[in-house]
Amino acid sequence: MLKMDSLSENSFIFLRKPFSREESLSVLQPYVRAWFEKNFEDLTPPQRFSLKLVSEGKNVIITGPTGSGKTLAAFLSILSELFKLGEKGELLDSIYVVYISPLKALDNDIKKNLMIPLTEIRKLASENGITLPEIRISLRTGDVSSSEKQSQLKLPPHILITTPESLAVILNAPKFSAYLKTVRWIVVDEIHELASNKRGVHLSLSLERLQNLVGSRIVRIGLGATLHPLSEAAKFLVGYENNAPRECYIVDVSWDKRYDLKLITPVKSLIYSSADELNESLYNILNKIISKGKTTLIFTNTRSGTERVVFHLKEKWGDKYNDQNLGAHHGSLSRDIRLEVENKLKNGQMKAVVSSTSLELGIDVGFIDQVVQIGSPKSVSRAIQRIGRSGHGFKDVAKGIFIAMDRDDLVELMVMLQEARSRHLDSIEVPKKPLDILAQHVVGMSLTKKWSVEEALSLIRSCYAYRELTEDEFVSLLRYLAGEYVELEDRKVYGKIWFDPSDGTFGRRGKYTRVIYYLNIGAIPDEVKVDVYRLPNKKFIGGIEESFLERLRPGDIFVLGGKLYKFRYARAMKCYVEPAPKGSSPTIPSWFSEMLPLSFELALQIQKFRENLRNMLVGGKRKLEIIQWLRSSFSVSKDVANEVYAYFKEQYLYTRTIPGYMEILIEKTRDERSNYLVFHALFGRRVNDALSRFFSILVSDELRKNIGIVISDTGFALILPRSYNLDLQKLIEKSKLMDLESVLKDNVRRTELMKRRFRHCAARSFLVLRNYKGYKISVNKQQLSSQTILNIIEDKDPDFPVLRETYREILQDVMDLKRANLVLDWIKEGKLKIRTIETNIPSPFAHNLIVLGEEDVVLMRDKKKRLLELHEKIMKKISALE
Amino acid sequence: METKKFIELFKNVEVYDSIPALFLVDVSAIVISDLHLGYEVAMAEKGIFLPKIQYEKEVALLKRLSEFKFKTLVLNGDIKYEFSESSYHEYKEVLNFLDYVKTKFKNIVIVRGNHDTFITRVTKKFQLEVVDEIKINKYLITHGHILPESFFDKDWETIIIGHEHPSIALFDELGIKDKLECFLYGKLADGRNLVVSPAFSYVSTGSEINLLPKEELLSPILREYALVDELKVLAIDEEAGPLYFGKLGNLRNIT
Repeated sequence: MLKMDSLSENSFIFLRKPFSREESLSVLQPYVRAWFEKNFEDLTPPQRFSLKLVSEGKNVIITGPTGSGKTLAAFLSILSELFKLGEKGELLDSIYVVYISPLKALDNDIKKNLMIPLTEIRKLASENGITLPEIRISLRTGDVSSSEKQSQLKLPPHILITTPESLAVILNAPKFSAYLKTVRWIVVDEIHELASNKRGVHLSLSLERLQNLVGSRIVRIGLGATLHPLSEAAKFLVGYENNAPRECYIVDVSWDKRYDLKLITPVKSLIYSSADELNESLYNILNKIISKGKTTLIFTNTRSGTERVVFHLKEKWGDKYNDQNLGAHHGSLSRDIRLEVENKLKNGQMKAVVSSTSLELGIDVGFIDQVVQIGSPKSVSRAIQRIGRSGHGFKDVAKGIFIAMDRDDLVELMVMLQEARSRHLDSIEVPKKPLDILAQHVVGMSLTKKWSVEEALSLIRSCYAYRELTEDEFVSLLRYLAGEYVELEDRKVYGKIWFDPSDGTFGRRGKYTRVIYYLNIGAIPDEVKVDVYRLPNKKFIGGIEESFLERLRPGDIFVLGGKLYKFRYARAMKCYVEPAPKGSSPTIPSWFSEMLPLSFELALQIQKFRENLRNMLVGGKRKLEIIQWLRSSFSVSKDVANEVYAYFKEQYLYTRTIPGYMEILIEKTRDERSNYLVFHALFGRRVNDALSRFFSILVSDELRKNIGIVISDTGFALILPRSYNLDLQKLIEKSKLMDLESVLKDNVRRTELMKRRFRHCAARSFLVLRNYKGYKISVNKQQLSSQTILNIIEDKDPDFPVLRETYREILQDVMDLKRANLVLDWIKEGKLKIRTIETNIPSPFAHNLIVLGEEDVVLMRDKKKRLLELHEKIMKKISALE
Repeated sequence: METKKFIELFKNVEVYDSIPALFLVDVSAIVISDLHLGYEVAMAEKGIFLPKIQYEKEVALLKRLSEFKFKTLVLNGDIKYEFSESSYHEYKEVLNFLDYVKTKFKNIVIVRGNHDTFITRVTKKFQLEVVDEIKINKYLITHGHILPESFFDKDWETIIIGHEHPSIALFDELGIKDKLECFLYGKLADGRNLVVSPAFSYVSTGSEINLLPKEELLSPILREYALVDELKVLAIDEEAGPLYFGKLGNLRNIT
């Protein structure tokens, strides 16, 4: 029985006190215990909790740092149980354990790591006269050959190692799925990587389907780096039953790890140094750091950043760095290249590896001396996760060096590292009711048998993400999948399922449906790529995103594969360019880079910091005192403290104020190009994305003009016409009367973001297939723009499920509607103050925002007026020509 | 916009409001091209399951056209979408469509387009002939994907083609692109008149004619025999109405 110091949150039991060594080891079969004691001095912290819990068949989430023995923590008791069955001769040729990780590379590692105990335990037992059967373990991922799959069908493994996508496939494999009926344990690894996105939701539906197939309770074990709140992760893992979450034990040993976090700037003054000086110094620093250790792992926030760092290091120190000891690792690289880098890392052959996000996960990377993070990683959890890749085992101190690249970055990092030291994590949220993911599983479910709506709903609602799915929502999805949006006679082509509303049943339809399911499942979207050809000989040189092409006008210059090209024209989803003239520079900024957003919690902490520092400046505190305070409260160097002080002092001297906690400061300003309304609104980009559109629509309606916007984590700016007349106070009052969600929906409809996300949702919902009738439909050969598809769907039914899901994804996953609403409520309730100032040129805080923010445009709502105005302007230009 | 709803491109060649159709007043004929019936089902065969809206939209437009009481309707090519042997669904759409227009117009002329292979399967049911070109008085009407036999005859004054799906792309000061379907009209090199009609199809996306170099245009008539930069642009938009943009060459220069 469990008797311990624990905190209970309804179904969740947070364990604080581990079991004793004896309590833990006694649950193992003697030979398993003997093997363990022979190989390990002691249990690691997660193992002290898990062995007993797992042996008692409890659901459990274990979060802890890399290298803390989580794999064995999850598996040791399971292996012991399997051997016990074998000993009794009760072990069937069937699957008992399904292990799922988001990465194929990790799957490979796990298999290798489990082979060792499996072989050794058997050997040890046989030395003691106990004959144990072999426990087989197999991979089942997209990379596994069909002959291997065939042999698995003949002789199934006891432990199946797979990915979310492959699990969804085998749930529908007619013969192989029979072996799943004996599953007793599910292990989900890297749960922090799955809990907050559609891929995870996809998996959680598979878990419920698996449980449904088995027909009895399966033990669920979740492993991962730390995340917050753990109860959200637990709900995600174990799901619901009888209107309450299933029981789950929560073990968080992540804070046993010690971190050494250091913050530096490449130059003394981030503002008075040129971009060249900044970069020059950055590479010198990187070189120095790399030279000091054996292996350094460097994180950037973008793939292009990763490529740049590798390129420059090799270029500057060609004698020292080469392809053999320095490499890039990111998702766009081919599998072979990534594998090679991973292997060399493990073997200690690499001096440094530069990565965007891909090496964040728990792939075995061998020994890393230190981790360098260039720029802010935007969340405390991510910072911890990345730095945690360094050090031998979890007992080592993880060493991380953070390099701030601009002043906002610096402030952000300083506050972030302090939050990390105080163990304040940002929170995750499971996406709610994504209809596109559900569409895939409904098709998958219908392939296995005939369902009643009631029965299907009860399975789906046991999944946390779909707990609140209404019958109406579900039926509208069924109607869509049954092709009810076309005439009866065409449904044979359109329908993937049949749906009979009279008795509320549905099932499989169409001879291609099974194939459609196999070839098109998954939550990761394909980007629509447009092929780029170089004139005059139309040589293929690469691809750009469809949405990027939409923005290009003849003469625009952009970068592709490290070279500059001038856009000439496009035809039928093909883009024609010529090399740009020497000395030209790109005219197209990176409109569509979806940068990591700053977390809301961290943003509020930075607001507090701003307020504290403002109060000191207003209170007339001397520089020395402030520097001292910064150094002691945030453990930063004198240089860093000086730079932060200078940034705030300049802002203060220029505007006589600094935006503080629960405040928005609106700065009316201009530069040589435009007029701006800068909202110093430090809420993170996801909230600001929503707020900026909301306010720009109010302004656009008022001025009857298109409004440009710039969005960043620290605020947003509206770009206004050269002359305008706007009553800010009236605008703020008006904002209190408007409904954010409906205003945003109306706006989002006309954006590039909508087209792009719609395409993703359409693919996930099987509206636009990537693979059909045995051949891959390359998106660029479809010659059908996302806009056209979108227009047709909107015209037919503005409430079409795919369309509804696109809005949901944009408002809730890309933006943060919930918290944007919270901010607006604060304004209404007077909890959040809005102040306004006017400046002649943008203040230092505003400057960063305008220069570095992401741009977008809010179109005037009245299309007719917009076109007539455009027509007038163009005719004016033309008459000037004539 | 306060104008009379008919806009004259040439004498007796007119456009009404924002309808993608040409009214040949002196011969009482209406010309439309590129209907692309069966588009959605053809797409569905490729794994893009779009709702069907085109048929209804086109029939509604035709109903409007029939109210002008013109005698002849010329379907100037690409009535259907699929190149290959029509699917049953496409076949039925074309069948229903012709059935409908038969009741609305006294004469129906079908000009073959590049997509219209196998169309006779449908047309013969109505005893309708499919021609590569037709002369009505001084007009030569042809789809435009190939040079018609009568091109060098002296007895016509105005040639009317489709095929190109002309549209123009416009950018505002923030770089936002709007795309509008348009008529192109002006002179051939030999001084005779040319009109290019926009697609009647609801889902046509159109070539951005002001962004494309001349050699990239689809029709050999445009590429080789027309003064392309001198062609005038009349854009049509359901909401904003017809918008005149002057010469294509100028529009190219400012974008």
